[in-house]
Amino acid sequence: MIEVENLCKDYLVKGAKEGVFSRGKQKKRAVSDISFTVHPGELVGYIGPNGAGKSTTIKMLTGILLPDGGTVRVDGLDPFRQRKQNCRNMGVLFGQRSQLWWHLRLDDTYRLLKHLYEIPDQQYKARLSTLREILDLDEFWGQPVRQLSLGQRMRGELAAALLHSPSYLYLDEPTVGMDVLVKERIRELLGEINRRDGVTILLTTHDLEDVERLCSRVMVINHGNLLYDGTMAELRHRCPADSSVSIDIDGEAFLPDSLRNVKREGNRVSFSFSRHMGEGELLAKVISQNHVRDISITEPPIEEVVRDLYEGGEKS
Amino acid sequence: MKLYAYLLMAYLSLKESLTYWKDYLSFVIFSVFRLVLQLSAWYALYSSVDFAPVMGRSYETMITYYLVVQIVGDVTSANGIARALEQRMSSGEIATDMLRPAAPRGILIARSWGEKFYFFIPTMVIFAGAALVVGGIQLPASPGVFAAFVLSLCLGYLINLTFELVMATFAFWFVEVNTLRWFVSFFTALSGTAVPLWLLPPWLQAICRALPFQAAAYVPMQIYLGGTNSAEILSAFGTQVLWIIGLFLLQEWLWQRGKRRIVVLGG
Repeated sequence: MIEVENLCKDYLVKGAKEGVFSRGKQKKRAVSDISFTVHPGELVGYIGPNGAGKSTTIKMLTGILLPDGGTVRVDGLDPFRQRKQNCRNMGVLFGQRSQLWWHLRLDDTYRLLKHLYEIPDQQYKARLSTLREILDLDEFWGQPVRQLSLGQRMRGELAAALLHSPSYLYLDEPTVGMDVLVKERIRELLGEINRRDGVTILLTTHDLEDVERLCSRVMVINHGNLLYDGTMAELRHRCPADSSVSIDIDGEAFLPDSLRNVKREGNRVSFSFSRHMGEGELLAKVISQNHVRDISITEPPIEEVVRDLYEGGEKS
Repeated sequence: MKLYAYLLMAYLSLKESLTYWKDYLSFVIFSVFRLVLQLSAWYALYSSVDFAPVMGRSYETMITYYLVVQIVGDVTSANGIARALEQRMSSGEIATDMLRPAAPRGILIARSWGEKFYFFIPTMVIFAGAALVVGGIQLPASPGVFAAFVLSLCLGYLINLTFELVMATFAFWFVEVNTLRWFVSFFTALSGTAVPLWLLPPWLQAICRALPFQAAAYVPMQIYLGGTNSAEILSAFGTQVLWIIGLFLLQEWLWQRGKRRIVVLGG
């Protein structure tokens, strides 16, 4: 069980020059008084815009950073002070940082991890062959890591994070920079790992779809404050932000007057759309009355969801 | 078991360095060039006095000193650990080190061993080639002397290592440690790898004796060349051990305070 209570972390930021010699140092609060509990087997999404404090939280849970206030306990262990013990039971994947040996083959890294985590021979062999199978590592097994594509490398990273069969898996933007197909594959794998082995997963991401597809529970953070902790559906429901629809139409366009923010550019028409305002019928009307060649609906970006949530929080 | 993991890490680090084996070429050319220059200088000096001893040392001793001290310098060197920590701090790679059930300093040291062996291979080749060209070198007087020499090399490495770790901990407070490292490398030149300390004026020799660095190159060389008796050897070992204990405690203290300051931004 992950127990976080009143967690705080400050960074010192060099401020503007105040005098000739003095240079003010400002404290910037990265994580502010956050509390939550994650139960074994949960798959929790942790979202927020850039600089919201997601990674900082993960780094405190994994024992890299020392909290400035509050407590973190993972199965009763203090991740910073009992770092090595805590490490044995967790796997971590940073989407923007590799933990594989760049110029070597995957099995070199795995062999080292086997000895670092003191995994017994038989268990190692069994685990490795399972991971090779579900992560499909065989096609690039013999290549140096630097020659792998991002999707391949990320599968390799996942295997590295899971080799010692940890109960906790922390993923910091695991799908960053991936194309749709690869993202989908990684999501499937994470879901499978969570179901198969009952691994508790905490996942930070910018991609709301990651969370919608995978997580039963989502936490939203902005400016270091925990703004929401609940289901994804409830979050969507609370968020009034518009999606934007863009349609390519052949011939003349017939558009209902009640459409909002209509823009025309040649054959392309775009307008705002919100499920919450009962505009589904309106959209159906547009599609049935026109000869639609192409349609795309863009969900509101996470920044907007969070902003709405944040502004809503301030009003109430 | 754990020790094997660190050895494996050193091996992987060597293996990774070997991806860029073409580095060897420039390293070898540079080393040979430097060696030729130095040996010619000593040759010119000694030929001007008809190969009579200079400062009480014969030409053969001088050449032996110069060639063997290259190996000694390489064996006892712990260079690169401070730079590596600084890089891993600023790139954030330190974060991945801290995710392992291993000592971050152990990881740094193991990786530096890989690099050490990487450069040790060509150094040995050049050394053997040079020894053949100059017609052989003096060997230690007895197996006992050689054993004492090897022991003092190990102690010398520990001095350099603990000193380097002290330098490395500054990375927790300052972003750029390498500048400081460069400044200190001036003092390490006083270890006896550049010139034998017996050629220096007495006041400079006194400074060298007060610093730990000579214990990592000059002291082993003196033992190798046999200019010391057992009492002197024991007292040299004593001094080395004292330096190691002092530097070890200092780096431990600095490390415990510094690691709380780790900041890994982004990603």
